[in-house]
Amino acid sequence: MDKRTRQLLYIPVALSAWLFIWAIMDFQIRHHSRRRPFLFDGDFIAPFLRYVAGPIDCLASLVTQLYFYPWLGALIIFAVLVTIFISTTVVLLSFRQMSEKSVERPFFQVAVLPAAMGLFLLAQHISVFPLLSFAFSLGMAAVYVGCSFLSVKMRPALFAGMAIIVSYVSGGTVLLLTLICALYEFFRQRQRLPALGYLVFGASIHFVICTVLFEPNRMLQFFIGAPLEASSPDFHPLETIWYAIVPVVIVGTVYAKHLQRVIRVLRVSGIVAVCLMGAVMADYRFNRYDPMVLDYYAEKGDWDNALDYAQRYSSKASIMTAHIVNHALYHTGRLPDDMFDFPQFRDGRVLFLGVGDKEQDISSRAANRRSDVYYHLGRIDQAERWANEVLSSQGFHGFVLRRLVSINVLKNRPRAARVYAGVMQKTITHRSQANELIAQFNNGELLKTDDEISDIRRLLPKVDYVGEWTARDLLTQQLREAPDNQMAFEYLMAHFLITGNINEFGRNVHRVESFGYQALPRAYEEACVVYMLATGKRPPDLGLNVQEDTLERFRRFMAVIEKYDRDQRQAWDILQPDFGNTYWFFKVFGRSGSVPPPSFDRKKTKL
Amino acid sequence: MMRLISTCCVIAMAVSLGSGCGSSIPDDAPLIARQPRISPDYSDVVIPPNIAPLNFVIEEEGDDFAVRISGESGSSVMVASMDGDIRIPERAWKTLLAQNKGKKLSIVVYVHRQGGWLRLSAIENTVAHDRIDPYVVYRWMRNLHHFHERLYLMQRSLESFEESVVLDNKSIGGECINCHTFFNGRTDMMTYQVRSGDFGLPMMLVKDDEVTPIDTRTSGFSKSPAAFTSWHPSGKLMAFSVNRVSPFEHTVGQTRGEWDNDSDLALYLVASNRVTSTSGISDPMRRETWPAWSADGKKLYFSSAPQLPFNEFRNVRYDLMQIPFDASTMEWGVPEVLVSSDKVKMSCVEPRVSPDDKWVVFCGCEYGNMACFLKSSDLHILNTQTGAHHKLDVNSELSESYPTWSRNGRWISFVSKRRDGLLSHIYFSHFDKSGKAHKPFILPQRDPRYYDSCARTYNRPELAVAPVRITGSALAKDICEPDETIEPPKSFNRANRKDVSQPLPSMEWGRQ
Repeated sequence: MDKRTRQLLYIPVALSAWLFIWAIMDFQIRHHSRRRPFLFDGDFIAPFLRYVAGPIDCLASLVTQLYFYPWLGALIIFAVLVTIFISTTVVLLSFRQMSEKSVERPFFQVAVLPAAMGLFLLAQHISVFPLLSFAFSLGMAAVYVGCSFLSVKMRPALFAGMAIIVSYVSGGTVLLLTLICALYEFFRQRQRLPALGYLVFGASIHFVICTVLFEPNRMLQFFIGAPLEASSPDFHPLETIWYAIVPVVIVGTVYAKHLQRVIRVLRVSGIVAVCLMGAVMADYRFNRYDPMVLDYYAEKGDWDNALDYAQRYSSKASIMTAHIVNHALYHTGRLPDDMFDFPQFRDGRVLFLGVGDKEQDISSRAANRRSDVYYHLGRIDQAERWANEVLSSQGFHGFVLRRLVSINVLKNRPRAARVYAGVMQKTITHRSQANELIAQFNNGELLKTDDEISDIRRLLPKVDYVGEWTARDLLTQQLREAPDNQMAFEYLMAHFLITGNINEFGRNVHRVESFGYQALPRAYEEACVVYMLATGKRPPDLGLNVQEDTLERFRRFMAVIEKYDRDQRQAWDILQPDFGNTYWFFKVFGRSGSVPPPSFDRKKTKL
Repeated sequence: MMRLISTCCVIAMAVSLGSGCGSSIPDDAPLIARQPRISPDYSDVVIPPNIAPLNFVIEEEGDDFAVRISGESGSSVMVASMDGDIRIPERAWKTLLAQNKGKKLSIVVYVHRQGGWLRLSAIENTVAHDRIDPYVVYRWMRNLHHFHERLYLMQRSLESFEESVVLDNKSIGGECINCHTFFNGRTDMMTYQVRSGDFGLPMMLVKDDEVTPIDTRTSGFSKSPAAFTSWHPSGKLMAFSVNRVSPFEHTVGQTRGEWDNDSDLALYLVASNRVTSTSGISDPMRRETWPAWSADGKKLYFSSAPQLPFNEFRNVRYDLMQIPFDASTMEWGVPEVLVSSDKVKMSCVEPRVSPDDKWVVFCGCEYGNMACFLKSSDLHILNTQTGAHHKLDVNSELSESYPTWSRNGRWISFVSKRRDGLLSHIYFSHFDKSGKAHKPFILPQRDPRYYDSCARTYNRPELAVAPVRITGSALAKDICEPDETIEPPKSFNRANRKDVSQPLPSMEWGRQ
């Protein structure tokens, strides 16, 4: 194959690599889950310049935002990987003359490994920040070895400059640069003493820069971006191997007696490793439950997909799953009927992820979901509070900014809404929406014709409720303020069912008729049966009747319960296929049948 | 890119205007007999002679805009714009102000519409003789509720647009920093508070280049750390409050509220490292807060309210008080109510005494002591000689809070939510010798549209005569890795001290 043909082959190879990256990296979900905002704004960028590795951190935020466009995200990652590949090639080739000149091509293939491993780690374990740090440091190392024409006196000056830049820009990865440069001086240039000096200088200058740009966790700060500090949020043990590849190959190059053979082995094992990594990445991408996918659907209001995904991975369900499921069921009009078809747990936190709960989850994901559910309930104070908590902890996110525009319109603060729209304008993802909102503001019609705003405005409390409320208090207040608040009603009923407060359920279920129901929804009907069993009478004021076949099903359910009253495990197994989606099943087992059974420490089965 | 093109066009147009093509705007352009709408509102204000250019946006229809700024003395400044953004050249502006101290400054706006130029009625501002302190130091943060991740202590030159970070809380692990207080506007002597899970709750004392953490809790005065402080004019002691503050939400009106469960005042004696107090400022039956020394150091002003439970938070109203103090003998007089909250039906908080001791500016609000969270909060002024007080003419329908004086007593700086009802911004008002406060103006920015997309709030602006010189890294290092934390010796016990750290009634948790 001549050189030109070989060069032409690069095009389909590169195209395939780009498409592969596009396919195995779920960029939309990564954009959503990584929660790294980026604004085209000096006030946003300036703080990044005040700490070690801040510039790369800033770049990582920009790249993560560009994930919003998957093709572009794939292109950027591809470009970073190509940089790593070329840099590795340049570095390794600079050592080849140490042993044999004929090993250029095998070197070329070994150089794929760091890039492939970088992609592997990015796909599964790390954010783009360490990848960019690695690429930057390796790139600088390549520049250094490429400057072999410089004199012995000039090279240390070049190294010093590079070390300062890399230390500030990408943090602890300066150690990789230092090591490669020291190895280069030691083996290639035979400058033994300067090589040692490089090691000392590289570590020292980084320490000095860390001291000047002080941060409290010195270790974390010193190794930021590098895989040597286990407490770093981005750390993964495989990273250490990734970082070690280049120095190890360099040392191997120098000392291996039969380099051709070694490289042949490396080449074969490298191809196997790359194929394996590809397979693992594909499996990870397409067969893994990722709670952020559910969160993504919820944020987009894609409720049908949220329910499908929750059902598909119901075996992995958590309180958060149940929370999103209930919100999705409300929006699709299925909550009173189908809530027990989906993952449910007997846990007071399900509906609001904890109200007044000292131990509540305060992650930005939980805060965002809370803000969402309070917003749709018309509890705008809590919606605003939690939206602000997301901003405080995670920065300016397009979705939250958009929510704050709506909240401020509802609070009759159009100029504050305009401010948030102004910030949205600086984002990558919500710019066009912001332009539209600002145009509306300029016309004095900001969200005036928005149906959602009109609906929620109707639900806003007119009484100033101050204090710490339970879920029940809060929902009752909302219903008192707007008796036609369907979400408040359905959530209140769901709350009674989930917490097992069947008496309160029975007392309130008659209100279902005011929401236009011609027949009792399934979950309510099943709960009415339990109410009747417990109290011996019908729920008061309820005009709708329980169907005969429901009673018949209940009898069958009870027969099994009575038969296996001392063996809960067996009762679960028998009842789960036919009754797993009933309220009765939930009442007995504390969870719906679509989730894995609990550990059965209680022997007795009781309704 | 559009902004860049626009800027280039503006420069080109300004050059052409300056080179004589300005004659394309006829002096006798038809007049629209009303003042132009500009944002921020810099009309009919009194401005310091050393303020940065008041850049603004012309909110009028037009395809080209020009502004002629002229004073009674000196030449005029012409600024052209295609998008209505008026950025006044700094040097020309400074010259203009210097030439027109104590005189009127006229701003004439021209708009080009349908092929012709129109002129709007001139905006007349006044340049005061009195300079304003050249720096303002403030907290800058997102609209916080319970959590905070990133907040900054910032400083801004009022004479230019130069702005820098004094302390970025990232450098102390994202912990809270608050209540910065300067000694007589001097930034080489200051205190600020740290609230940190990892580094404790010290009051940081900055003196020259030395930063010392002080944990006043070891005195036994309170389990709560020092919060609001006020330096005695001698510089030898400071008054501080201890508070138990926690946030909550309202379902109607301003969402964020804040409840101070209990508070007291004490003194910290710097040289002897001692905490002392008296029942007049730490009465167990009352909550005392917001200390402010008189300029001569003979009186301590503060706010005081009766103890009430949280469910009566709307009835917690603070009186404005004063208590005589003799620094030479360390003897206290009898506390005196200056403004009774019962009489005026408002809570009087955040007093600040003018440098000539003649005036006390304070916030009057419906209830409580955190005026920045209360829409009803307005600035009031008390004449210390006559005891008369009235609402200042600088207020809006929305919250005004955190007033402070310039060192010459001729400027009041405060924060207000008047712009959008949610975020606080810094305003300045000229306070003339007759005791009249003039229409305030917002802190000018280089980008006249800056506030349209700045979703951050300004908090506790303190005027300063010089920038804070000590670096953020040095401040952070002394918080995180102090050589020594000063612990005042125990001087209070249960017998002579109530425990102010009783548990909060059904309040939410929070890191603040």
